[in-house]
Amino acid sequence: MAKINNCDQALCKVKMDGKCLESLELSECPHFYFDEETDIDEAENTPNTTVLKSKSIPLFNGAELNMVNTTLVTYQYPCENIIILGDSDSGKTTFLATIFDILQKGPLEGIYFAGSYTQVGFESRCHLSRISSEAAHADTEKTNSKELNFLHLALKVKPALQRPAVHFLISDISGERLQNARDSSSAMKELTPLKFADRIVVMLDGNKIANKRTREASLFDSYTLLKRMSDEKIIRADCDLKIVLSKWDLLDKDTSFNFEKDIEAYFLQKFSDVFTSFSFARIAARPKTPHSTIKVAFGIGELLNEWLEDKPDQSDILNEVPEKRINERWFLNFHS
Amino acid sequence: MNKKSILLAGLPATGKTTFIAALWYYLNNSCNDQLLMVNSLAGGEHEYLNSISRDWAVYKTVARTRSNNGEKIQINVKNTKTDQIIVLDIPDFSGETFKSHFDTREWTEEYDKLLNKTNGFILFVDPQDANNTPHLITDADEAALLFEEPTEISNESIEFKQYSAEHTCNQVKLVEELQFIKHHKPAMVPLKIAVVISAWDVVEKSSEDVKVLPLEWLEKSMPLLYQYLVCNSTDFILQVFGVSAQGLEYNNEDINKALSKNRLDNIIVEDGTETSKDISKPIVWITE
Repeated sequence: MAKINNCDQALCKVKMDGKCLESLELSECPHFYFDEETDIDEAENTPNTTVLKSKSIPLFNGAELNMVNTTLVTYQYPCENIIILGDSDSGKTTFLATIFDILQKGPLEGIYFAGSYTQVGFESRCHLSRISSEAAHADTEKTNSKELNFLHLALKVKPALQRPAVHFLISDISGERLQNARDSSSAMKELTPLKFADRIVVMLDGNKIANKRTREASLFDSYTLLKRMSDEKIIRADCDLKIVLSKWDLLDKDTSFNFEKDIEAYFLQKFSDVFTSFSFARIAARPKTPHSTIKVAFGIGELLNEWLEDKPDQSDILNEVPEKRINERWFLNFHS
Repeated sequence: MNKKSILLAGLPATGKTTFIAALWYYLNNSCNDQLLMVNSLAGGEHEYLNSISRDWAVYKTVARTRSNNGEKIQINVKNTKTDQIIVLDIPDFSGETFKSHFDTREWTEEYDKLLNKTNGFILFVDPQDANNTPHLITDADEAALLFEEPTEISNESIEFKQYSAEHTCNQVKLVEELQFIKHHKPAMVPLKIAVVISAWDVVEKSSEDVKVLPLEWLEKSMPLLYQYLVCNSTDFILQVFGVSAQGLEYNNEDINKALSKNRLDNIIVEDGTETSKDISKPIVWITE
């Protein structure tokens, strides 16, 4: 049966000249597929496209992007790459899900939704926060994937809605994988692609910090993860490091807890001479404490606004020469 | 002669076919100040249009479109202001067609080819659809707290339904359709998008004394779609209309009251600046 080259990236000319827009081997390109006369068995192995049926055109699949598939976004736009670290249940995925849940109700503290190539990925992560899931209370399903996955979000800030959107690729990595990396050098080396991160967020589990028996161990775990990442040069000293305490609703009334003394001082003492940009935040994505004065998405708007501040006008970047734009495409940096 | 292709898009039961039925009747029953009117019926196949329009005229619910390939509709019209003759190509696709794009992540070759010649979209939304936005458990919990004693939430594992595309609300699906166009058909943008909020009479009734404008309704009731369109205004040129093509609820009492008027007098079209009965306004705006 005849095979016709095709690609789900509109600008790719692989159909005509057989060359990948990304300069990748066709078998490696996540956007490449064989057109309708394809042998279905072979097409099934093509990531990020729907298996072809007769006379149908595949569309981008909307799920989370693995490292290779991030080119769907990075080819078109300069991106901010944000890596979220933290143990299982520290609130990494709930943080992502809450952003999308809140944007569906309206702009978040002046931040507008400008698009996402991973709406399905967001929707599946938001599912247990919805009444339609029939869950008894709002929850987030655990991230089990072994992949380094990313969600894409394009945002704008009012009143600058005429400026190009800022595109974020935000990681959703399973806590188990990060825990393994903390304990093993070989597991840590698998996280090498993270060295192209623009920002690192270390999510501290507010539930563990609120419990005096688990507080020190939780801080120690975060310290050892960061220390190993830094020593193994998995994260750069010049990336923007943010320590974020999740589930703040469990701590804000605790008079025995002092954020500056118990959290900030701890990390500053250990890392202030390692990272050039170092800051702290408190969030409560989905407060569980009834009648808490801390509302849903507490602190998240402030965090996003910080990431959106002082961004260069990205239309200038897009107008730069292609060779320079490649520096914005972190996958290719990694790939080479 | 100018040829314009306009795609009527929207999820199932959002009022697309009722709009076409009323439009056909309106274009054929011209009055003096009408901007768009039928120029000629010669050479046209109008069985489908006549059939749905007849149902509309006698206050009968217009049957929903079942075709996935789109009922082929061509109307030869004249713009009375410019004297321009336009052939309108307005295929009527079933709402399931658009829904399936999100669910199956593919569209047909025929639809893809049709997009290549499309000049604008009329995107229909049903203001009465409870699935336009998601319903969050945290919102329900907050509301319940007004009436109940608070209880601590346990961390025990819970029973739930697995996620499927069925659980995704309408505004996300509509944003995705626009993103598909922007990504897979970049030559189509900038594209005119006329958002038509159907059953506008119901919106007006529910807002009581406060006059609500279509753009405000979109901002408040489908906020993700609104934000997306506002943020992508260079790609999607937006105009929002509130349209009641049916004009009234089809019960005996309301129909009896309506019989004292011309059928066309029941139509409501709100474009943000004025309320009229000109159901061709979204078409005129796209063809301008």
